[in-house]
Amino acid sequence: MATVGQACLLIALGLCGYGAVASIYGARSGRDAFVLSGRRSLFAVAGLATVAFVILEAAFLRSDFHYTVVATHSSLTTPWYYRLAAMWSSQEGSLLLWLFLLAVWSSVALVLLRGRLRDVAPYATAVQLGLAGFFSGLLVFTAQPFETVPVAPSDGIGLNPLLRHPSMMIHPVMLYSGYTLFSVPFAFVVGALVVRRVDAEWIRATRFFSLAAWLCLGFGIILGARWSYSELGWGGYWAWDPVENASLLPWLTGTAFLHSVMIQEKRGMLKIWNASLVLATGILAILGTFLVRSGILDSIHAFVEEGNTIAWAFTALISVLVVLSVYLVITRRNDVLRSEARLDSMFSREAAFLANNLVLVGVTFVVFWGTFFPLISEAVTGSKAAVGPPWFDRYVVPLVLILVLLSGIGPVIAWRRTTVARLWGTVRGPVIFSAVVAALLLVGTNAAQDTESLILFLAATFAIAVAVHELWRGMRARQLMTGEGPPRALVGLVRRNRRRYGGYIVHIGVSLIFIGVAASSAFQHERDAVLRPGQSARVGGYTYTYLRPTAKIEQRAGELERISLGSKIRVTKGGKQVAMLSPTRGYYPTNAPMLGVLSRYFIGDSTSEVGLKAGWRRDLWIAEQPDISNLMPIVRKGDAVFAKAAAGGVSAQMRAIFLGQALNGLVARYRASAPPAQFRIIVSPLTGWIWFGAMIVLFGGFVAIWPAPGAARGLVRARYTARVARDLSRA
Amino acid sequence: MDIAALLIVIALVGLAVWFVGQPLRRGAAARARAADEGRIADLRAARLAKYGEIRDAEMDYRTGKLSEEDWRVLDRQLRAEAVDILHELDTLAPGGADGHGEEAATAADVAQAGSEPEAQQPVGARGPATIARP
Repeated sequence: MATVGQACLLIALGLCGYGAVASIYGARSGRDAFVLSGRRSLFAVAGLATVAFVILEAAFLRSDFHYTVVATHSSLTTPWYYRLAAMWSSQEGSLLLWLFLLAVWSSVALVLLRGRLRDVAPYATAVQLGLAGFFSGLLVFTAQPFETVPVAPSDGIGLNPLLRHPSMMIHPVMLYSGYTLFSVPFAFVVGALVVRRVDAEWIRATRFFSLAAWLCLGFGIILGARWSYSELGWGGYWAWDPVENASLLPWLTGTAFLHSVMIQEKRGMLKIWNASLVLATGILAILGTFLVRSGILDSIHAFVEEGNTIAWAFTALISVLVVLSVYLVITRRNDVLRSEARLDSMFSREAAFLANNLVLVGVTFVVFWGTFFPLISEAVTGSKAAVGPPWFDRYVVPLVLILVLLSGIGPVIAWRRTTVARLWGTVRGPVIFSAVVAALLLVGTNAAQDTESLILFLAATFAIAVAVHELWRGMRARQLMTGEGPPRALVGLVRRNRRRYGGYIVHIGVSLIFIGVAASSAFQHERDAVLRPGQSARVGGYTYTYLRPTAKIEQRAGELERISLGSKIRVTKGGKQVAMLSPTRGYYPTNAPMLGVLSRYFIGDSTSEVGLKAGWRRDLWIAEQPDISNLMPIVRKGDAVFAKAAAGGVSAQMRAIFLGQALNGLVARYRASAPPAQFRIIVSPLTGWIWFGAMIVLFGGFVAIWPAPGAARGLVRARYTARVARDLSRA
Repeated sequence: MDIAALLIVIALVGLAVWFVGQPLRRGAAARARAADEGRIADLRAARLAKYGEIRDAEMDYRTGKLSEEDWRVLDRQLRAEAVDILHELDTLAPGGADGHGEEAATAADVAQAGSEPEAQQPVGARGPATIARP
């Protein structure tokens, strides 16, 4: 089947080239047959990419180590569900995932937009096929996923243990779905600029995909943060790592775009801005993939392998996209991109959205600069220098404060203009509520110790209060109009304008996330401690007591998957037990031939499984680094014994039995006399609000993205209503 | 390469060529009305979006964000824009796709878009007649 998979990619590459040319030729010559043929090329590429994707997934699932990529990224001890996800931990598999998602989402877009933007669609198809062709080309010539060897190894190297986490199964798919979905508005704006038809129609047509991209990317980012928090063992969820930042950049510009398009739809303004934003978002999405897969910047998330040669290809693609985008915007700036209206007043929703956009782009610039600073400094000074989290915090935090405040003000200002008195009338309630919350925080907590956090709490509270107040006022207005009860009126209100009220729900979720971030950053208690069994450490008012060491061998499919060394930790407050935590460190065997029979179980990859008791008010978190130094002399002795046994002709079966006994002995020894272990202990307030806020964002996003029933059924119903009225008038 | 794989590859190539080449064999005659159909689809989407704007403006007025005077001006302008869209739509599709007249259907759309608030006014003052047929 590897041949079939490879052939699928080759045929897809050919179709991408043909389809792009056919689409453009058809559009320019007016020959619709070619346009349709180009469109079908994209469908065919989606089908072929799906076949290739399924073939490779099947190889991973059945552990077919003839495939080099399977042998190097999976193993017999990798659980089946992680084998499914192991594919995109590889360079080849992740590029195939990109191609698959791009082709599928692009095809879905063409089907859903059938009949709309007929002049624009062929060029958008050509852009999508061009992108698909780029990834097909990489898969055919550079990162071949269907490379096989005649004799399969008995076992594979295995999935990077860091990636054996539920979040990591979905995180890459969500990020790539976000990236590839953003290619839809990107492709359509290129088409719209080419045909010089930059009214709001391309925005309306691609809105679903912009929202879906934003939602998928945001969900992917949160999953990555959750993985970092519970898997990496450093206790944080965001480190301003280049790869984290790479996914944040298109999300930020995408957020700006989702707000500013409303101004173009309502007022015909900001056409250049919107076109530029969506072009930038599309390019930043490609850049995000580039950073993860090229390894040009050091990152714990960059899963780059030796001999990576795709960096130049990505650089060339991004350069072409940047030049094309700049050319299209500059050449259209004085005609089709001219604004149809002017800003009537600074006290208007347009002005608030514009300010929101400027801040978001400001954050994007800061993140971009900080992320690429190592490359910039190397180009200028010859030496690579990086900036750390304090640098990002210094610039991003004030901008975020403004942003949260604006997310509270924006919804309550009317379009075009409003007066200070009218604005005060609408924000009075939320302002008073925020003031009360501020007073309670100052009196009842230590929030005053960190001014920035206190301001952020207030801004977020204000934004939440505004969103809730808006929902309440809308519900009351609907009650007055329809006589419905409150729950029915609220549901009816949201159903009537899903985009607006879905957006308000998203504001609530984002504000909760920021409250969680501010609290867990400013008021977190953290301590590194070395403890023996029986010893305790006091952190943030909680006492963590190391009760006893734990050690066990975990098996899967009859093979040793990992050795887990950890501890039982009792957490008490005021003498009362509040949690029992079990942090462990898992040691995964490596197949490195130079290591001894026993050493390979302790010197390979190891990952931290944190002990976590999550709560609404605070998280109790602990990670352990066991000390295995006293085991290593025994391990080395065992290596020598096994080497002699192998040379002395002891059968493999006997050696396996001895190996089992030796490992069990080592584990029992650790349990009986574990040396002091290194612990990182954290008491983190309101971290749970981040994940809860993310769920609300997700819910709000779904509300906003769900097609309004009135859009489809209303038209049909109205036609029947009109027909009934006409028939009655005739009678 | 084994025979089965070779046959599958040949079949895939054949299928792809057939699928992609079919429109070229059928010719472009069947798609002569494509441009108009596309514009009609765009106008229908624009019409619904405009009705949404009219509803939004009304909701802003009812929740106190717009004064009655501002709302009247905005509402009048939005309705005028909706009329332009309807006019173009009727020009392109005088009979309507379902044979019942685009005008009738869209007029009912407008009526439906604003039918609910007709009776009740928000805070005492009675606003202008809610969305009527433009």
